[in-house]
Amino acid sequence: MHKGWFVLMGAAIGVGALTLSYYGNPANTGLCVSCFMENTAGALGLHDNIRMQYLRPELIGFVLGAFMLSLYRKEFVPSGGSSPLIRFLIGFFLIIGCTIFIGCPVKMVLRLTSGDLGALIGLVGLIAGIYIGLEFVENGFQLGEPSPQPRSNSLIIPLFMAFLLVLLIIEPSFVYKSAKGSGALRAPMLLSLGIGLVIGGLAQYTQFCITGGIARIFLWGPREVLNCPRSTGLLISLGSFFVFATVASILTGQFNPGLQGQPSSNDSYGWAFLGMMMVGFGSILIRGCPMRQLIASAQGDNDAGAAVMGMFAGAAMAQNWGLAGTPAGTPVAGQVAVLTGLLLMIVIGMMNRRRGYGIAREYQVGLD
Amino acid sequence: MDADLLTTEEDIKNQDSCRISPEESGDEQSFPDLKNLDGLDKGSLLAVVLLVCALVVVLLLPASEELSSSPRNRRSGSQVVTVSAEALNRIAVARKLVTNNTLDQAEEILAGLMKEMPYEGAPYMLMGDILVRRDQPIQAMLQYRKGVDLNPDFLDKKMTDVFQGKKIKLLLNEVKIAIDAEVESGTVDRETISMHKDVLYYMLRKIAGSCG
Repeated sequence: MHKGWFVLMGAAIGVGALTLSYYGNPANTGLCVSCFMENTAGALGLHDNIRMQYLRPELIGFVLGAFMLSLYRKEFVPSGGSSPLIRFLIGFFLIIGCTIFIGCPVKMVLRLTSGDLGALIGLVGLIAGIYIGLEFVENGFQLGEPSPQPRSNSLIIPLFMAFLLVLLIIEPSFVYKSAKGSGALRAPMLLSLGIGLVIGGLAQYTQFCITGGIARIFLWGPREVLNCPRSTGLLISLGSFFVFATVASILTGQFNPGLQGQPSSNDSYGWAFLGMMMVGFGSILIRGCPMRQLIASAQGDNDAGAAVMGMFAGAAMAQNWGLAGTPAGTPVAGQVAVLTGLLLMIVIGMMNRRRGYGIAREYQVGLD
Repeated sequence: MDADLLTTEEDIKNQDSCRISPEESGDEQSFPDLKNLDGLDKGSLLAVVLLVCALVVVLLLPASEELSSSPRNRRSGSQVVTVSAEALNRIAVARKLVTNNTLDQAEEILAGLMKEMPYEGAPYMLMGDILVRRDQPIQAMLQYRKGVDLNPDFLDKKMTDVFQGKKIKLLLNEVKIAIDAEVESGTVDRETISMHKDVLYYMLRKIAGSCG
C-alpha cells in the first residue's frame, strides 16, 4: 500500500475532527469514541444523564463506512470465537478507562493538538499500558485463534449501526436527545455522518489504530521512528493525524495552549494516567484501540464485535455508576473502577499465557 | 497492536509467523505454578498486591462515603426539583433588589432561601452577584461554584434563559488578579490560596465545556 494513504488517513481524522468541533461538537471533542458511546448509550435509554444523550452519527459512520468498503474490497471475512467474553469484559474497562481520562486515544491526540498539556499524562499512561500489554503478548499471552464464522454473526454490528441510523433520521419518541449539556452540542448530522463514513472507510483500508502505531515503536525499536518514510503505516498515520490536527486547530482558532482551564479535563493527573494505562494495556490484549474495535467489527470480526458491545455496556455503566471523570476530578467510584480494571487485566494476562512461548500467531497477523 | 483483517478463510488457518511459532499442542493456559514463576509472573503478582492495597486504601478513605450515595439519585435530585411559586417569587424579589443595589435586604432573603432550598442554585448565583457588586470576586466565585454545581444550566449555552457563563468568565479574570494579590500580600494562608486556585481552575474548565 502506498504510504500516501496513511498520510491521508491521519489528515482525514485530524481535519475531520477539528471541523466537527468547529461546527458544533463539544470543544476538543470533534471525535471521541468513548464520549460518543456514552451519548449513544444515553440516547437508547441505557443511562439517565440528560446531558449525554444523542445518537452520534460519527460512530455510525465509522462502522458503516468500514463495512461498505470491506464489502467492496472483498475483505469482509466473518471470523471469531477468540474468547469473546474476555473481550467483552476488556471492552467494558476500555471505556471506563477512557471516561476517567475524559477521552479515548483519539480525543487524547485532539486534546494535545488543541494545546491541552494535561493530556500529555494520558499519553504517557497509554504508552505505559501498551508496554505492559506487549510484555504479556511477547511472553505467550493468547486469547485463542479466530475461526471462520457464519456470515450472519458478522452482520450484527453493521446492521445495528444501520438501525441506529434509521432511529437518528426518524427520531422516534423512545430515543432520547439532549437539549442541554455536551449531548446538545453537535455538528450538523449530515456533516458528522459524512466525515464518519470517510474516516471509517479510510480506517478500514489503512487498518488505523493508535495503540497499534505506538506498539510498533516497542516492537521494531528506534528504526521505526528514525527510518521514516520507511516506518510502518500506522505510525505515519499517527504522525499525520497529529500534524494535521494541530494545523487545523490553529487555523480554526481552537488552539489554546495551557495546562489549566482546558475543556474535557481535570487535575486528577494520577488517575488520568492510570485510566489511559488501562486503555493501552487492554487495547494490546484485544488487538486494537476502541476505534480499531469498531472498524474491525465492521469488517466481520466477531471478537471485535464482542468488545464493541462491552464498550457500549461500559459507556452506560460509567454514567449509571458515576464513574466518569468530571472537571472536579475523578470520583471515588471511578478510582475503584480503574484499580479493579487493571487488576482484572493482569489476572487475565496471567491466566492466558503459554509460558515459554513468544508472540502467539493471532497477534502476528498484520505485523508489517 | 491492530486487529488486522484476515482476508480469506485460509489465512485464518495458515497465518505466516514472523516470530516464534507456538506448537499446536502445548501446555495449558492456567495460573502459574508458584514454584516456577518467571519474571513477568513475579511482576504481575507484585502488581496485583499493590493494586489490592490501593483499592483498600481508596475504599477506606473518608471520601469513599460518596460511594454510598447513588449518582443516579444525586443527578435526578438536581434536575427533578420543583420550586414552589412562593419561592420563585422570593427569588424574583431578591433579583430585583440586587439590580437596584439594595444588597443587604437581598442578602437576607437569599440566606433564608438557601436554608429552605439547599438544592436550588439560583440563590447562590444571586449571592455571587451581590459579592461582585461588593467587589469581592473570590467570594463571588465560591458562590457561583455552588450555584453551578447545583444547576449546570447556568453555564450551558443552550439554556439561553439562564446562561450566565459570560459574566462568570469575566469575573474569573478579576479572580486571577485577586489571587495574585493574596499571594503577594502574604496575609492569606497557603491552603486557602490553594483552594481558591482549585476553584478558579475548576470554573475555567466548566466554562470551557466538557464531554462529561
